[in-house]
Amino acid sequence: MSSQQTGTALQTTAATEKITITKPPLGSPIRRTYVFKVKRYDPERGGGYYWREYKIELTNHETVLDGLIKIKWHQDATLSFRYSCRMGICGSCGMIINGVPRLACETKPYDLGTEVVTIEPLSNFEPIKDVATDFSDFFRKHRSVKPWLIRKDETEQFEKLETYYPQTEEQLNEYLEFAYCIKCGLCYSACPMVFLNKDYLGPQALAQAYRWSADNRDEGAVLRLKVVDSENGVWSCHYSGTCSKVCPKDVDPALAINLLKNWLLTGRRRR
Amino acid sequence: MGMVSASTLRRWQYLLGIVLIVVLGIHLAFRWPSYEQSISYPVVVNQILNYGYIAAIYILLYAALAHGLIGFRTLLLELWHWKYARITVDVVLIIIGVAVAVIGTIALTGAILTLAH
Repeated sequence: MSSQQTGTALQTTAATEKITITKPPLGSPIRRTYVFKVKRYDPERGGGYYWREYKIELTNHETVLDGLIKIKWHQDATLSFRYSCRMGICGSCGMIINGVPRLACETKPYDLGTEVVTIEPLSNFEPIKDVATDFSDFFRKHRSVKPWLIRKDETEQFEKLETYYPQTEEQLNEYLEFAYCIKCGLCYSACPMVFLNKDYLGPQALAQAYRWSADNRDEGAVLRLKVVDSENGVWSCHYSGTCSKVCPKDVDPALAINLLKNWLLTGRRRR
Repeated sequence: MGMVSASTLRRWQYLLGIVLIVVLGIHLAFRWPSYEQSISYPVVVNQILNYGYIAAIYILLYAALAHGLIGFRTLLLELWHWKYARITVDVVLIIIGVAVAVIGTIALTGAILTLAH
């Protein structure tokens, strides 16, 4: 597609709402030098965590992940971190940036407004190497809430896979906002109760328990409610709300947990 | 407590909280309009002969005890996570609860009977 065509496409006018979308001026990128202060960990080196600083030049369009990739290519090939899609979909590049759990691919150093950018591995996760952490426990908890459609009729669930279950928009809206979870672990990392109680299922698993139970096609809510109705389930949540604040997809796990509590106390789902 | 689900226990806790507010309200209502007068000997004897008031202070004793113990259990289980924490906390709190209930009942009944006679 030529630049002229692109420009035309961007200058589309939606007649019904009378909103004109115009192409923003590109301008020249703003270059700045940042100090990336990375909290590193090497199990073979021993001695726990240590800090390393890297100077790097980035534009206002580049992200923390771009910076880390540049460091790995040009300065220190031993630096380890996890990433995949680079566009906030896969949820692989979660890390603590300037003290807050964020996705590195969605965080621009320019927007942070600091010259020094601190990068740490996600808290509440065991370290593997440097910023890469072990998600085994996180996914074990996720699986424990049975995050899939459950049908009472096993042939329906395992054999008649082509069966189509129609759903109205209202029924979809019952759980849609919780379906946007990308399993990045930011909410789990931010949760003070996970820090206090390692057996606590955590906001991600609990939000998914609600997401699947609120789906009208699902018939496994009773099974999930049994799992979450424990001291390590919803009752460990004290509604600090940090999980919802850090979620890059605007999922509200704290709301899901409170909806589950309400469901358990009243015996029926209310929204 | 191990036989009861966490949500049932939480439901009891909320209900006990409401019951406590009601019985505490009844208890305080008997101090009205004059606190000094309400705790004078003849007035207290008169109150003790009121079955509604007696029921309220017994309920106050048991509801406060149960509400306090369930709340204490929640706190302990949040701070204590070893393998047998739950069973240990439950057994210890049930023993404490029964002991306090027995001692409280004996003390309250004794005081009522003494005043009634």
